Amino acid sequence: MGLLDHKELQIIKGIGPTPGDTASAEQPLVVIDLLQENSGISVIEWSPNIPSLKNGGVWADSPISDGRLLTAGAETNVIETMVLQLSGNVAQVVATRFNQLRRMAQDARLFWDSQWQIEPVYLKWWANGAPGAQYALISNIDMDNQFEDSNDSQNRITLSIEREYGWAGVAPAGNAKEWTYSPSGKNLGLFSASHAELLTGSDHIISQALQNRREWNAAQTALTSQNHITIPGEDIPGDLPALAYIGVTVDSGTGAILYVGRSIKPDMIARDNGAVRTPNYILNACDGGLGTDASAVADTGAPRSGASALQLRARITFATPTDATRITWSATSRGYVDDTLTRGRYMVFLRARLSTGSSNVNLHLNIAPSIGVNDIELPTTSLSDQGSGGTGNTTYWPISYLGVLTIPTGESRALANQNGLGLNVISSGGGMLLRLYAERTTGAADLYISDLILIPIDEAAYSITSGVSSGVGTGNAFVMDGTRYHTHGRPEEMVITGGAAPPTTPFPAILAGQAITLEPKVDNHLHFLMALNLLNSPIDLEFTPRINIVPRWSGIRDA
Amino acid sequence: MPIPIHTLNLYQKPKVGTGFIARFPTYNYTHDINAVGGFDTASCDIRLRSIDEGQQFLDQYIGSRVAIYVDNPAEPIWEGYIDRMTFDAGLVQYTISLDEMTNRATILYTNTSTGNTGQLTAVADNADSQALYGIKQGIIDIGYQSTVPNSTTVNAMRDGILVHRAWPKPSITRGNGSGILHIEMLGFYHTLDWESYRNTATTVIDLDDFITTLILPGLANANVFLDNTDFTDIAQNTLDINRESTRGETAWQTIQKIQEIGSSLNYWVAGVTPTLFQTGLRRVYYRSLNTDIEYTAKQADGLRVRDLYGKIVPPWTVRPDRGIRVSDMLIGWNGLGDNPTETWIRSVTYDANQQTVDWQGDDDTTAEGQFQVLQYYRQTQKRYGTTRRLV
Repeated sequence: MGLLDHKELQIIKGIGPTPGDTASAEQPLVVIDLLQENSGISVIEWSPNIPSLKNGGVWADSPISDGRLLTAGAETNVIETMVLQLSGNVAQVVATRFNQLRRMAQDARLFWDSQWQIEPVYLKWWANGAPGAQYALISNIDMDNQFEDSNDSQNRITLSIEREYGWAGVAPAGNAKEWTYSPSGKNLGLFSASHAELLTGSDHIISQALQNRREWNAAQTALTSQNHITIPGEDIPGDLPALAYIGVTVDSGTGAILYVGRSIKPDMIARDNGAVRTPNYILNACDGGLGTDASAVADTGAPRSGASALQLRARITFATPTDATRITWSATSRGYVDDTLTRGRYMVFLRARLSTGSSNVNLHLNIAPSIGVNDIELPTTSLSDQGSGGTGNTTYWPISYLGVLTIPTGESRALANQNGLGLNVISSGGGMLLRLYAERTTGAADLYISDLILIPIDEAAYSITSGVSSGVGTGNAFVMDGTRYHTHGRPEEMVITGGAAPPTTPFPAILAGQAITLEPKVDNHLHFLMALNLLNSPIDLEFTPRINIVPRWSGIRDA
Repeated sequence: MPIPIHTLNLYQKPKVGTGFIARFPTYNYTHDINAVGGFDTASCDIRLRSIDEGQQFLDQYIGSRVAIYVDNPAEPIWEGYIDRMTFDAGLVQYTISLDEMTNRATILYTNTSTGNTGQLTAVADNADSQALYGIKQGIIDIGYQSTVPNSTTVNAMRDGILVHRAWPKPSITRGNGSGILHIEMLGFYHTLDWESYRNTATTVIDLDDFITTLILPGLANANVFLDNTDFTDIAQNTLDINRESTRGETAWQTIQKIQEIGSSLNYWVAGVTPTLFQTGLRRVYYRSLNTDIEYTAKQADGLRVRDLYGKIVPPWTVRPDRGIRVSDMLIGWNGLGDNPTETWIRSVTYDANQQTVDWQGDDDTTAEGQFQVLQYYRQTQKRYGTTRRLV
């Protein structure tokens, strides 16, 4: 059979009950099978299309320079043109088939422009030789009708179906765990209602207990706690970004704000010592070089840092209260920053508090490409939060937003080294410097610093603020759904926060930023920062992301 | 890369609360940000899910706070409130706006019965409208008016205006059925134009003290739209001014008057900051302009804005009140006067569809007329209101 001998080709309305669910409120599917020649409808001609650059893209073009540069581009919807034969021994049969198609076209449009038609209308296509079916949400169906002269009643209809630009591995409004259970996913067996839970268990593409901090062992060879999860590239098939369902359950403590950023930046080998370096997005205070009036103080409420991996906070006493460098992180710091390894664009938070009230400290972060080169200074922010001070306080670390940091600082997004060997990472000196400046403008407080947190925003990032005034407690969850499950097929992100575990009473939440999709066939790292109301981010918060995906293809699925 | 989605986060009207309502992807988004004022104007289209949703917008969301997010969830690219909406629903187009709303009315007149003295009636309020939107004051100057035998006429005029204009004004016309909701937004500094500042004293006061001790504490809207007790971003300026303000100037016009005086050393700017991450509040800024060159650009790629190292800056993050240098023209220039390759950015205009940001300096002919209109002290030159030259 050739590529155009389709195994299944249907137009479907609705998602239907999950197998094994006897109390579903989902309506039965409405299916038009386009390959059932004996029942009166058959495709006689269809060659699948692929998306193209919408409106040709946005270009930077100047008459005084050669060529042009692509500034931005997005994918178009795809127009599929199918020629169908409707036939029957009586006209009424043909009319019925015709009316079914017309009704489906109406429902497809009403799904978009009415409040009440909530059942998605989509194509289901199982190409010859493909490992499974693939699905595409339909925006519109136009029909061109041509009656034919024959002994039987016969129509030739040309369908112009406008669909979304990617084919998905799960039907719109479907549960992404269908993919997880499929042979192409984690091959966990037949998917049924007993497997449908998205926020409990371990039967997901990936789930992992995380902490609201990052710490290295004494030898700096392994992490002993981390705030990021890695979805392996082998679990993300397709050629288009995969849709993601990211449910983050709070395991310990209470959260009200969750920041999530995606990075696909790879680990790299350091040229000078051959060690594999992982991009580090949390810089503990005492893993940096302590500057003016700064010292490391034992604090059981602080993350482990320093050469002995002890729990330490940085303490700034402000003997010199004017603006001065208090902490410097560099390539030689534990935790390690580098303008190639840590390239990207980040929102930057500092976890710090004051020892007493009635004081104000101004903070700003500077970045320099190397020693002696002029810094780029981020905006100044003020801190007057004190918390309860003292050691052992894991429950009150305010986070101060220090702005957006772009690495490297040069013109290019990535700097090939002057040694002629392309990109490289050097662990011993000469690299980028991050300097934290602080000045005390009023009062007599000391400044305590836990860590500097970078959340990548150059690929995709979002924040969820809980719709529950008391926050999201232990066992409840922050959910970002880009798979169209919660929206019942609408291609819109939905965020909710839990009321109970599982969230039987979900609360709408505030989303800011972009929904995260996952790049296919590369490791995707998601970095998290959780905070309470009033921007209190305890380091002892623990949470578990559970991630399921809906992979997507431009053409025939290959997995 | 695909153009990052620009989303509109919708919140309650500031007078009512700070609660979040909904988030919408936007289309055809543009914004303007000025060195004087801050976030100025923005507009976008929203594809509604149904006609019912459009009607809900018209009914409930005029005056609501909005924040526009792109790639950074910690920092919106623009903030303000919904000032006008147009909903094209089939054959009918609905428009509703705050522009003509006045829920506190006053009549200013020259009283011919008292020797042609300028007089102001007492204010009349619509408390219900104020409870939703805050106080939006209208002062109507009716010129010469006698108060013999009494003030009934002017008061009646005031009350009639209040009855007619206390609520947002809708209009209905024929539409073309696009089903799109078009939203026009204003930055919060415009709310300082919602109330007058009046002071009959004639003593002098330092410019910064004028703002911190008189104008801001005296705001009728108090801390509804900004924190009128936070003076962190108000710099000291010991030049002084006569505090008398009796011509019906708004609070913003009075601040503009102060701002345009500047100092003997420099031009100053004033406006309202973005919402601060730490406090969730906005505050007034008043300071010397920032002359540092913080951006560069190249003719060769159509003046895409870059940082000092040459890295392209996302156009939605470009801000005014800093300098920009075009690095590939007049290379090595070292003549007299201001460097023609450098401009202080007075305002920026961002277009999401084109992914471009245009900036205006002090000598931008396309913006000259607008600047003349918006300034407190206006230049009396022949070219005001006409195009000076073709560009």
